Amino acid sequence: MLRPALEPAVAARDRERRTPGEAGVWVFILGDMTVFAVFFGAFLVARSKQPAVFAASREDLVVAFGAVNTLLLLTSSLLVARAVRAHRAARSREAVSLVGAAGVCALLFVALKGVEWGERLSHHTTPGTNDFFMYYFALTGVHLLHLLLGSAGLAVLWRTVRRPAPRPADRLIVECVASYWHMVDLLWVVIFPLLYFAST
Amino acid sequence: MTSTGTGAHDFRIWRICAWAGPVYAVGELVSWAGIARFLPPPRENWSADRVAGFYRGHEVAIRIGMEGVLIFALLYALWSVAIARVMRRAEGPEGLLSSIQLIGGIITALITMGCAVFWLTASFRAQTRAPDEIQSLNDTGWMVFDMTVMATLIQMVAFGVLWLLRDARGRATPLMPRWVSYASFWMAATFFSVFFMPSFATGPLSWQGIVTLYVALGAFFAWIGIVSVLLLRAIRRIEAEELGPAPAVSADGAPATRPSEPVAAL
Repeated sequence: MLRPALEPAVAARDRERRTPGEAGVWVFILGDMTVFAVFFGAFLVARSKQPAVFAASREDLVVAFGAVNTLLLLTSSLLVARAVRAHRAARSREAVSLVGAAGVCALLFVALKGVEWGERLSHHTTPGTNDFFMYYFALTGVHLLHLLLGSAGLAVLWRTVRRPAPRPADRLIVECVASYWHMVDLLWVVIFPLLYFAST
Repeated sequence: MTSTGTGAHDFRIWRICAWAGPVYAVGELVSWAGIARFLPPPRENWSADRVAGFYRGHEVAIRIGMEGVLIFALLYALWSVAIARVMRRAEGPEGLLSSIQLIGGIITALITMGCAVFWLTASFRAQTRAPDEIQSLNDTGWMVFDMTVMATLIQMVAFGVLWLLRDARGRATPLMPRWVSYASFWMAATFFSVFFMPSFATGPLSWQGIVTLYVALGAFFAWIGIVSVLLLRAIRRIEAEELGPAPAVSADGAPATRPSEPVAAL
């Protein structure tokens, strides 16, 4: 432990230079985003080859689903960010309820996604229908996978902020999970206009 | 002999096993992609006739290529043994992660053999075999290649988890850096795309797709490369810990050999 006089200075320096979480988790996050970038690129190339098919198929999507999902994820990101701040200020009860609320948003997203897919499938629209719907199911499916992984992270986050006595690894866990969740949100913010709003 | 019972010759075998990984990677790529010409592969949405045409078109090249795949496959298991021993040095003899990693590695080697056997059979008697049968064998090869990915995923995750935990011997610097854990998790995460493969016959998530094949396989080979480099480094460090640092040259100017007795048993 440092002498008390030195601690504020070191803490201040720490605040200036620190990477959220740790450097390694950004390998994971940026790597994931790179794969999605490849995916988006493939979608755009496919769309340029069949603009009429893509434009016509896009009309079948219900924008309201996508819009509500976007709101849910943006809200959950805000809640998670506030939870991180509450945790840092040792307001654990507030942090717990914020994380819980974010988890509810995630559950609603999954439920709504299920309803939306069900609606599509009831119209006999499958990944094999055409290239647009192949990408639609692929992009939303892979994103859902990431969201489920992020939800598991939220569960870990919930357990972490619940603890009455903080452990040294807590800051790392909180920031890593929060960063990953923001990535999941960011990916959806790109997917939503890409799929639901065309512009040729 | 050191307190761990490891002699100088064991380190040589350990290093050979560590090199088995890169040899596997190169051998498989040359055999599978180069000789058998499976990159790009027969497409998931091809008709049986077209698939049969692929196999009949270069039957012998596929045979030789797949035999090459079978020859190099078990090297992956040797490599996994080398990793497991480094992991055990870090987590202690009672730890589970090194065993989980090894199990994943052995199964991965078997998977490599499995898909090669099906593709080899698809090319066998291809001229007279019915196209539907050839397609069926081709499909099964791809199912073995892709859908068994959990074995490799568990190997990579077990490996990654260890380096985020505290070293059992209290080493200040762990035997492997923390970023390799996250890299392992990310690369393993790309494997989940294969679970979309049976539902997507075209596009990035088909078995020939850019995500399911090129990104995932690229991640697998990149992981072998990265881990092999770190593995050799870790083995060298363990050797120095247990046998003492390698002397460059002895007093009379001749190249020195490592003492057969340890400098200090740790």
